[in-house]
Formats: sequence, C-alpha cells, structure tokens
Amino acid sequence: MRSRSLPAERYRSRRFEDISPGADLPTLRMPLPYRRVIQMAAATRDYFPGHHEPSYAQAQGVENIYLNTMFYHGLLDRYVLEWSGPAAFLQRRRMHMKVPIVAGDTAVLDGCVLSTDIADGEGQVEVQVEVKNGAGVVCCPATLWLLLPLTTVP
Amino acid sequence: MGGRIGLDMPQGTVRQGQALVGTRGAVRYHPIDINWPMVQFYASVVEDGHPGYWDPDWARQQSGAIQSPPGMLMVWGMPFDWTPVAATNSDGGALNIPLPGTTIINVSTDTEFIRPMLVGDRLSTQEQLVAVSDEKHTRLGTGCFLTTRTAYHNQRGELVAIHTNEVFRYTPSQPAPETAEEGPADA
Repeated sequence: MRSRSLPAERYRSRRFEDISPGADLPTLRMPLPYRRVIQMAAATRDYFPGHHEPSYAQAQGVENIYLNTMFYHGLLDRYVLEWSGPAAFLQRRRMHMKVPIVAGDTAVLDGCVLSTDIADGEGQVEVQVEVKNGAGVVCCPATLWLLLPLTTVP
Repeated sequence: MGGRIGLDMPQGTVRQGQALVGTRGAVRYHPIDINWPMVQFYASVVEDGHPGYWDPDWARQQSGAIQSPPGMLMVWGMPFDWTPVAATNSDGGALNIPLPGTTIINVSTDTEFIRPMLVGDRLSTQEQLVAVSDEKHTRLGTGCFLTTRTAYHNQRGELVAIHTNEVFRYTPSQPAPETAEEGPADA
C-alpha cells in the first residue's frame, strides 16, 4: 500500500490543487567534503574505488573521488519530497550523470514543476531538477514524478 | 593500490558483448532485511528528515513500518564481499559481460517505483542486459554503454521497482584530454 492518506498536521504536505506548472522549487546547496562523499559510499555499501580512492578516480580520468549514483538518488529524492511533503509517493526518477561531482565541491539543486495531471484518483506532478557543481555546470539533470493524494474529489 | 585501474571483468570484443543482449541473469536473493539503522545512516548523509525514515509512529500510521528511502533501492541488492557460507559476489551482472574496457562509470538511471519498501522486507533481483552500444569516444576514454534493467521484488513476490541503469565501460584516455567537451555519456 502506498501512503495515500494525509499525514499528521506536524508534517505538512503540499496540496496537489495548489501546485502549478512553472513553479520553482527553492535552491538547495550541499557542501561535499570528503567526509560526506565517503560516508555515502559506506551508507550504500558502494565500495567502488572511484568513490573513496583519489588515485583510482584520477586513473579513470576524474580529478578526485566523486559522488556515487545513490548519492544523487538520495539528494534528488530528498529535494522533491521535502518540497512536496511526506504524503507524496515517488513514482519515477530519471537522471543522467553527465559530469562527475568531486569531493571538495558543492552540489547545487534547482527545480521547477513541469506538469501536473490527475490519473486514477491521484495527482501526478512532474518536477525537473538540475544538480550543478559549485561552478554552475549542470552535472546531473533529472526528472522526478510524484503522486499526491487529492484533497478534493475531481 | 595507487595507479591500478583494472577491475576483475572478463575481456572480449564489442561483438561478443552485443551477442549477449537480451540475456537474463539468475534471480538473486539478497542477504539483508531492509532495516532502520541503515535507513537512518543513509538519510543522515543527505540530511533528509522525512518522517517515514525517522518517526516510527508516523511511519506506522502511514505505511505500517519505517520506510526505506527510494534512493536505497540498489543498496538492498548490494552483495557482501564475503559470507561464511558462500561467495555472494560472483554474479556481477553487467560487470560479467565480456567487452573491451578496464573500468566503469555509471551514466544514467531510470527507476519506476511500484510500492513502498518497508523495514523487514527483503528483496530479490533479476537483471536483464538490454543494450550494448557500439564503441564510443568520450572525454574519459573509449568504450561501450551497457544498459541493464533490473526487476526488484519483495519477499511476498510483489514487484517493488524496475530499475534501468546505463554504465560506461571504457579504457581511460592516456592522458585524459583537457580539451574534450563531452561528458561520459555524450559520445
């Protein structure tokens, strides 16, 4: 069962009816010291050496250890679900890691609502997100689709 | 350790790799239950305060148990390096495809979530190789893009998620060119 019912008042969720295409999500900046990059490798048990051995990353052609795939997943999911509130269900996430983001850099996320739709009694919200590095390069564009309970019957 | 680049991957030609497109691996049953401490550790690294991961009362009311962040899907399928009964790392999936290339970097993912993953669930996976590109040149090196699709089921046999993953398996340029403008996936 998906979590479709409205959550307790202390964890507010956005009403689907209040979401419009074109709306911006607030910018999120996350500093990425070695500690955070390596903690994520451990938290996901992803010991591929490019995420913890600088010399290996350099031999791969990347200047330093870099964020692993599941880091982007966690960061993107947090970003959109924090905006929507916890009543939303993440239905789909698509992302493309074009340029690695390395330890010592900062991840900067911006997003906006692309579309909204009602299907099968639920509200669907399509959100476009760009994960940039500190220099403003779009390193990982992503699209996420959320399902939100309807508060009014269509 | 410094300077080594080769992973333990079978070498072959692009044609040998492409001949395996469509093949499915065995169903793999993963050794750990979805559990709250690992959920908390993951959520803490990205500073995610979602009550489904932190507030058992709220989570119980919403979904019956603490939820797994969707981003942990792949975590629950990660093999141990060693167990006392058997090596679990033998089926490396896309890494076991014979192809040129000495290392890998992940390029893109597309994941559809069908139902929540909850503490106490245990997942199984089955992976299919769906595409192997021709050899491409990118700023990181020369190699092939491999696309796999993995179905995740829970212990009740219910489909939890379908995960499509594209990885670039390549031989790094020596030295890495500084002027190339393509990303790993922009062949």
